Amino acid sequence: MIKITDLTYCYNNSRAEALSHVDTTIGPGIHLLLGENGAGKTTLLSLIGGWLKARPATAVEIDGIPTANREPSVMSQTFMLTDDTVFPFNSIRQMVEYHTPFYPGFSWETLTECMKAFGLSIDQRIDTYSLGNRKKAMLSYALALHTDVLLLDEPTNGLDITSRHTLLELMARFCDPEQTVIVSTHTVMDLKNLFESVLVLAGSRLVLSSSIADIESKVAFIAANEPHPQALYTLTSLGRLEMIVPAAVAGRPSQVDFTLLFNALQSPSRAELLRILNS
Amino acid sequence: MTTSATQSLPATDRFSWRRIGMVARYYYPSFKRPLIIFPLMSLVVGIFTLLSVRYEFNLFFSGTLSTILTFTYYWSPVIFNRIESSQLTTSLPCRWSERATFVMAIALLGLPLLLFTPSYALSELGEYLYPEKYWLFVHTATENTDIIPTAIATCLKVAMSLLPFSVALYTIHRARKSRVFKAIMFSVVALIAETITIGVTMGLIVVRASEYNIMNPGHNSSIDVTLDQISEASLYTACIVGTLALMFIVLTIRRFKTTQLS
Repeated sequence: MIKITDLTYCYNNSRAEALSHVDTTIGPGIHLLLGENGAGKTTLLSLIGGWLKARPATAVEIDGIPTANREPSVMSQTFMLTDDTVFPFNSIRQMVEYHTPFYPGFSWETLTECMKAFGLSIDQRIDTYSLGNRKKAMLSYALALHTDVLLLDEPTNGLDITSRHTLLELMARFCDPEQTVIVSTHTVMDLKNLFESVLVLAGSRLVLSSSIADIESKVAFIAANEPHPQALYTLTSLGRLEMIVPAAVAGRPSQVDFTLLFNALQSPSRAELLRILNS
Repeated sequence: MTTSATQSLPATDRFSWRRIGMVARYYYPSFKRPLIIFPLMSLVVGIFTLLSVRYEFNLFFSGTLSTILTFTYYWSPVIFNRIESSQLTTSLPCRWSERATFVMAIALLGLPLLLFTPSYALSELGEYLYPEKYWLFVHTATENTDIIPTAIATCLKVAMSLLPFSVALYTIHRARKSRVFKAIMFSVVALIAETITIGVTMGLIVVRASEYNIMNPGHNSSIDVTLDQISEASLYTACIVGTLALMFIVLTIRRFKTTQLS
């Protein structure tokens, strides 16, 4: 369980708050982290992963232990993968030999299955991979560690269409129900069926932290040619109107449209939508 | 979940020597080549010095080779560059003190031993085989001329070697970009600063002696006064330079605790 308590973070000697008064609890499951550029997504993931030190240290805890202290017991159950993560060894096999001893949950079977699914070799030098293949190798490794907390920052960047689908299948297959996986991505559609909850950052603040089921019980996402009188948010897209309306007036259930939801929460008219979602 | 990894992680958050062993294993690929190259270099320097002792160019030759070895030592912290560049190293599941202990052991003990032990051993052999050429095998001229007491000379030698080394070590762990270039550049700056420090210290002492016409009862000539001044200057210089070197080592250790990745 990740517990974040009134977290505010500024980078070195800067008064600008990268994160402002973030309060939430994140349990097991696969969670989507959304936010515009500069909203603080990577900062939040870095603080959860212990890459940055929260002040006070107790602002971010995993199972009651502050991540800022970087205790081995916490760090061995946490792994973060970003776009610019660099593996310090020549091959995935070397990573297994020298890095995985620190991670007791590592599974060789998971690694070989994932690498095979992506069509990669464990012994190939990482610096000979293309950008996309390097990402696939790193994702395979991250999934194989089976840490309690897995943080993925833009995992689909650099992946081709087929590989994105492969990643979706691998995450569905190898992410444990007890595992907490947080995925920060702008390409939501690739993994949308995986997510159990969504966190939305806007202007360094956490404006929404809710399960998908809860959102679907409160609002509906519809598309029509005519505006709905009770629409909470309307977006015109290619001549059609995409709208968010209260679930009670929609008449039928609908799947969460993350793109529409994200746009709505960035707009000036988000207050009413948030009032309903947070009620 | 199936787990096939060896369950070797110590089940404690306290300082663990076993975990230091795991850290050592983690760093090993970065040190494989230096483990071979550094002693080889030292051996080659020692052999060439020994073989060329009968020739007149030996002093220049062995001096040049020794300088290469010394500069290799100053810049040897670059072997940490690749491994320390990775976020995975900073977020490694170990205590910062464990990683610092390992890195400092390698930096302050391992690297000097690798780089200087073979050449030193051959120097000792040379002194034994060619006692009449003993002066060619000294490590610094000061050790063999009674100008400066051996203890002070040794401290000065260690401090002067340690400052550019510790600056390079700190730079490798502190800089975010162009680490190797900056480490080399800043260690050269430290060397220059060191030289200036020696000059300024010596100058101040000589000026003081001249102003007050200082001559101790045991002095028979101005040469004795000069030798005393050199000895005094060496002591002060060793203290200043040694303090600076220690400061950079402490700063490096502190980096293990405070490094943040963004």
